[in-house]
Amino acid sequence: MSRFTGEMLSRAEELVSLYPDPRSATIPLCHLAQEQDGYVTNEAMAHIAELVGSSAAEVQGTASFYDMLKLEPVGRYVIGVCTNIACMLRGAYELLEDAEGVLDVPVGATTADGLFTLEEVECIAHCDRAPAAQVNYRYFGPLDRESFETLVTQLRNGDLDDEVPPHGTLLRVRREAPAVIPMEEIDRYRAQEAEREKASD
Amino acid sequence: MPDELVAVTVDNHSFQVRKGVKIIDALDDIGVHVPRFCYHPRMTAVGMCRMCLVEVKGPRGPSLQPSCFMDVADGMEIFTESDAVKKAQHGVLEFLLANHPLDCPVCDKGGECPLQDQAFAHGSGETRFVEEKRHYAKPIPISRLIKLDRERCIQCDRCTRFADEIAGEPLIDFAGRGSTLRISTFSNVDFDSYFSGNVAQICPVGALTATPYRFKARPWDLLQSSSTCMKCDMGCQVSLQSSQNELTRMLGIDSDTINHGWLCDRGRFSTSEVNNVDDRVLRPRLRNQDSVVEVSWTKALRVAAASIKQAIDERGASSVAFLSGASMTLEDTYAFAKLASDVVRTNAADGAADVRVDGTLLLANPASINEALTAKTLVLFNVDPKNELPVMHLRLRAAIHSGLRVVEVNTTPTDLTPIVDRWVVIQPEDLAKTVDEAVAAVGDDRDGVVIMAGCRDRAVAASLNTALVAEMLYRFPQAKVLSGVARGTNALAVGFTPNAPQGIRSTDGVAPAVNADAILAGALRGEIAVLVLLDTDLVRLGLTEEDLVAFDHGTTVIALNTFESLTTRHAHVVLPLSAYGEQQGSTLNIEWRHLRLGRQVEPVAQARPAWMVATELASGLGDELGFLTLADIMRDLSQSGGLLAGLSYHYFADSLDGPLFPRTRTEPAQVRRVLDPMATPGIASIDRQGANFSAGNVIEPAEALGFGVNTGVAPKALQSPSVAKREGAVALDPLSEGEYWLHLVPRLYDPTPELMANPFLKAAVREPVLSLTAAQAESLGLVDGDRCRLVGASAVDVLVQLVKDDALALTVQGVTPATLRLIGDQSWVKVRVEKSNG
Repeated sequence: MSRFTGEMLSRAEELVSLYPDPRSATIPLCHLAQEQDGYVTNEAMAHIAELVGSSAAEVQGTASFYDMLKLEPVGRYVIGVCTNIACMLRGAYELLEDAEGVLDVPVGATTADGLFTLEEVECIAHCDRAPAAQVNYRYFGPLDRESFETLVTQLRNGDLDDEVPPHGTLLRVRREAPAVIPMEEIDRYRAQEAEREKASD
Repeated sequence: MPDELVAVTVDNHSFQVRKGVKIIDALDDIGVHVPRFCYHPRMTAVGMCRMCLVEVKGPRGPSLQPSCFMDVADGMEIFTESDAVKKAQHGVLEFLLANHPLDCPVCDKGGECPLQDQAFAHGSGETRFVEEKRHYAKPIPISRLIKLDRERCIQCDRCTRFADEIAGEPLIDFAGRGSTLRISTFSNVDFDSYFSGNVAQICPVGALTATPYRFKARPWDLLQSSSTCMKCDMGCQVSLQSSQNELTRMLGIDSDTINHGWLCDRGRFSTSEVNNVDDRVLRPRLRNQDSVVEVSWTKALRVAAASIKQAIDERGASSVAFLSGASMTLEDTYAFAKLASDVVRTNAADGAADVRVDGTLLLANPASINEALTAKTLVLFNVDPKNELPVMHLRLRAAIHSGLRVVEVNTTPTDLTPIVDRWVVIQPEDLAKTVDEAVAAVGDDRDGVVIMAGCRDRAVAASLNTALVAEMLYRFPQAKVLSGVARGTNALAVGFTPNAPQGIRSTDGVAPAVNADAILAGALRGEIAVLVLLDTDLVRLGLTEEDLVAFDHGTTVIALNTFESLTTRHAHVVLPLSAYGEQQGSTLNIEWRHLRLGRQVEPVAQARPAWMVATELASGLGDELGFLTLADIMRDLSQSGGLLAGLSYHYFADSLDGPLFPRTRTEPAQVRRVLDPMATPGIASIDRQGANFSAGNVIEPAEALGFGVNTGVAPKALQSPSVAKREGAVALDPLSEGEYWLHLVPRLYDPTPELMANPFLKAAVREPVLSLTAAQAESLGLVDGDRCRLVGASAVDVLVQLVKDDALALTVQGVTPATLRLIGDQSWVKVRVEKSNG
């Protein structure tokens, strides 16, 4: 399940067809791969290279640029604890230590059951609820050791499944490529605009 | 047409510079050096390193601008030495050195390193950094040939740009971002490119190093001379470097007419095979039945001459045959051509066994490489530049991307096919239609067509290939021709092959009339009494070991070889030849340009240049060739008329490429070759620019193209592309049931004795594969990775590889002794495919 197959493959092909230059689909395809496997696998990158007509090294170069594209396996839930100034003043470092304690992994690591990956992140614009954390980019706060433990338990029990989908899931509204506007129509519009401008002068 | 000029001021002095160039180029032109790392004159500027900042005056006063990224404009005021520029240079260098290790004493680049040099010249002289530097695992082998040391990398983008832009194989790219930005291959995919050595050549620090050269020598100990790569007839200009009488490396010289500084790995790393004495022929030896004895040169030559003499006396001169398919120097080739025609007087001589197209067509109206690349339309006919003339592939890619219109006519696609303008497949069923299609693809604009004609597909017989090329030339009578044949220019030029145009060399001797195939066939029938081989492995010409053993009865094989092979093992007289870099001389490339060969090391053991052997053999036969030095050969050759009239070493000016032949051809005045140590570290000072030819020939070269030395006979008018040779519509016998047309195409790393002697390249040799489409494979009951048996002239087992491209159907990639045996005497080889028993 690393190359795109079945429905994923048709979605991938659809993404490629959205752009005049197939290479433009590289990043959307990386997201798609992440939705499929939770992270961007090497096999997926090789497949993306085939789909967009570049080399795997180039896809890797692009994917490795972005922090939100994971090139190594991560947990079902990626927990990012913010340690920027607002959260820090409200005890973010303590929260981070607590999180390490609760999950029993250091920052950057994934729990043995493959459920949680703990990260330290920069400001996530949730300062009004500092100290804040994000789980798969869904925000929670203010947190202390107790509420963090509750959060982890809820995630583990699946109580938050509706709210927090597995890492990589895309919830963007999918849309069709817009209809191509004929050049004549654009010319006509421009002519009208020009006339209107002339009239207003 | 002179370039348009604009007026600029540089550091308050006025200059006229070419319009439309980058500031850094204009500054180079007027001799103002701006430090740089990422800028390379043969690649797109990216403005990555910021080392070339200069101040340019604008409406809001002077501001710092990257000079590699801004065009010159009329009235521009540029400051290269202002305080702001100096401060910027200090800052950039401090930034680059923040993470650069201080391991210059053990770094291969130390001593020729642009970073080291420019840090001394433009840095602030001291560091403020006390922090720990970045650390990476190192060195990382990104291929068999290249090692990566990430700590030294300054992220200039040169190697990645080369891989993407020049080679078109982006197998390395930046990964990560910010302080973790690094060069990376993908997962377990090696940087497996024919051109990988170039990234080590252009790396401005020691981050990319070539495995064969690592820790071999220090730059200041290297001796170097300018030379020409001999691995194919492209004629790439190189700086050949040695240390302690051992070749260490080759670097590409930026020759505007030929290689633009690039080399392929086959050529670049060929020094390793010369150094591998274990696989070299070291001493003359004789073999009688099973006993092999090493003997003196005198004895070996006496035996060789005696057997030739005996054969001439007893069975006539044409029972002595000369055969070669190798790239020999011009002098060596001529010496043997003269030995064969004037002394032995045999018509069985072919020094260009690999040329399977009539040389008359190649020589009648020759185009230079630059003419071909600036033609209105270039037709590639049965040639695969990437595998046969690799650097031509790079030149073609660049030309196509800047607008060259290319019509590719081939039996199977090449790596250029995706980017050429039109692709025409040579269809064996309907050859007339193929030519019509090619003509239609060129279009109505018939002027300015250049045809690059080769003989890539070995399944197409020489006669058929010639007929097709002749037909193309009949349709385009004005077209110029560039040879696309990988090996054999020297033999064609001196008439050492039946393929050469009639009368290309005036001689009273016997002209070659029996070609390599006929010679071998005759030898197998026992009609050849003495077979003289020049650096040739008969197995590479389609013979089996049994055939070689059979020569014990009646055919004396005299093998002059550089490397050991099956042929040398079975030959009766083996004579060691000096290798590339061990002898002086000159050579001609595919555009018939005369190029020098430098001598950097002593010949190993008792090896000698072939021309010396030829003179000795001549005197052993009681005659003489009339030359004792290279200069004698040159004089002789220049007076032999034909193509090479006016040939001389005189015009090997230090900084120019040699001239085109025949000398009636004109070309725009050459620009002087600039050895740019920032573009190619390590070629700053070639002490001995030219081959060091014997005294008496040293005449100051005239200005640029004024090679006013007129020696010898005026060039004869060579035959025009012989319309008379046109054979009209060529048609092949149709296939019978179960037969297929075969395609047999070479790869760069097809096994040869030289390649197998190269410790760094022999691992690149792959077994031949047969490409099949899924449909074909299914009908034959085969799957990917199977082995199947091809039955042509003989049966051969090959590996099956499935492909999607229909045009690749039934193509055998890899010309090896085994696959060559599929070829019979058909015009186009037909094969049957059977399931392999094994």
